[in-house]
Amino acid sequence: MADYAALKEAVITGKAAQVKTLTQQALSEGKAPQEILDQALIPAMDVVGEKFSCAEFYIPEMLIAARAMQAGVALLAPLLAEGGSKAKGKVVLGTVKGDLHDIGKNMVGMMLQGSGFEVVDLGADVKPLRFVEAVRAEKPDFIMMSALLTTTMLSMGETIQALKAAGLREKVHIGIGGAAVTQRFADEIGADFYSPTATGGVAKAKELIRA
Amino acid sequence: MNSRERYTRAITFTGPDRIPVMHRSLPGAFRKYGKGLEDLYARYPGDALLSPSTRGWFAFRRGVGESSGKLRGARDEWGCVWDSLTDDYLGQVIGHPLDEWEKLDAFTWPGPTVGIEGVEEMVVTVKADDHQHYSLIEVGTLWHLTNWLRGFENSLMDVAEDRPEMYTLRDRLIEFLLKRVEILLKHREHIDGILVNDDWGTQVALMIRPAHWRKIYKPAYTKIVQAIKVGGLFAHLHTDGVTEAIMEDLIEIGFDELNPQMSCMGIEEVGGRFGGRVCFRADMDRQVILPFGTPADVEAYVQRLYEAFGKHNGGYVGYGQVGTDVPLDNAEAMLASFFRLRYPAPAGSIEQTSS
Repeated sequence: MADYAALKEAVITGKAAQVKTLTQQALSEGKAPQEILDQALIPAMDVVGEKFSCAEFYIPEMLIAARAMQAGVALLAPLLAEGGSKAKGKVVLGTVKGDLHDIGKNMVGMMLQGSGFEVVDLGADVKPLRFVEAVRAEKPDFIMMSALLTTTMLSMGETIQALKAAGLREKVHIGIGGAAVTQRFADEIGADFYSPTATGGVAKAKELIRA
Repeated sequence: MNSRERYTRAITFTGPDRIPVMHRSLPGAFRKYGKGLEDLYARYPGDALLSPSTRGWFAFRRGVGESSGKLRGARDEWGCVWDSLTDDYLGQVIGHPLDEWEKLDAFTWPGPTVGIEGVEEMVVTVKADDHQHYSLIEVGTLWHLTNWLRGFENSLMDVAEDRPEMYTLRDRLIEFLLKRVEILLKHREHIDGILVNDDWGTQVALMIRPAHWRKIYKPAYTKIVQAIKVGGLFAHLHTDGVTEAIMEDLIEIGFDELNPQMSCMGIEEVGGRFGGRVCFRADMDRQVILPFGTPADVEAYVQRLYEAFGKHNGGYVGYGQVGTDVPLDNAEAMLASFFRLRYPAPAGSIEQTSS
């Protein structure tokens, strides 16, 4: 009998092998992939996000939970695609030009995936035109840009300008984050939202997609 | 009072004449500002000689060459593969020799002298200086090296899973660093302090649970600091990010000077709790104030740091990183502010009585 409580707990406690087993078990019992996602994996990552926000979890606990969640999603994703299930929204993610730091961006990507978003991760050192190409090709609801450094975060403004020049600015919400980034900087460059934390960024994305 | 005495008195809370100053610039800043920055440092001379002699970035980059083009794909003595997209910064490890634990048994450990060649150069410099400046040498890094060997995400997940291999690696690295301390102590007459360099904070919190840090890494730093202090030298720690949760522990371990990143912590809160108990080489705000503020903002920030850490007959060292994004005017405002700051005279002294 599919045990969503156990599956949820396995995600929260970072037990990837157990997540894989329990997800497979649920599928074998005929449970719909979307139901497994909605009733176990996504709620589990919501709990993980809350625990991180209140400093019960730190980055290590978050990472193993995300890894466990991905073990389940890996089994569900092909079935969801076959069944024509739609993600909650689509996000293009990247660390900007000149910057190789990616752990914050990776955490946001994992949490977005855990929240039911489709994530297209462009990686690090992403030039403005690459973001523009990705918006054209992927037609995302959001792009979310990350930068650690005061020098590289300036590329966020360049990316927004490049999207305007390409006539794509109005087609996508833009979120930014990273250690040196501030709300004031976000306002100056015309980003739609900013968050000092990964969980905050994901919460803003969820809020915007519901609106 | 020479620089060495000034800095030592700041660490020991025994009344330097003014705030000692340590210069710090990224390579790109010298390329950008050239003589302008050199002249600034000549007008506001530093009190410390910091040798980037040992681990990784500087020693390795000097061996490979400063240009990011040469650093790309270069492999260091640990087998870590480096990359850097810009000459302005220190680079990042992109290839990790212990990304899988199965590789641990067969891993070839470099000898403790590898990357420490700069200590000879340091001794020559100190002798030429007649040891007028505080001489600080970096012994290396524990957590960063763990990240570089394992991969950042792997090393964090190891903490959450309490992997036994993590302790094996930690213990080998402690052994490595203790051997390095031993080598550095042979030159103790030319060295005043030994620096450990490990960033433990993120922008908002400690990177790992404080309880995990105490269990896994506090014993490691305790051993390293004990070795430094038994050797008669001062123990220094650089650590970026929010590290307030472990500052009590760092004081208990016996660090003599902390170099934390104050831009992401409450200056007054940290000063209230820890000012006067350990010397702070409190980092200037290099995320907002130094690059984007006005000279007046910079002066006001220095004043806040002085108020929080400097009013203990010592306890504050002026320090701020000049990168390519820092206007030279702001760098000058910072240095000029440091030089204006004098310690309050001790109670009962002639200067205080007469004022």
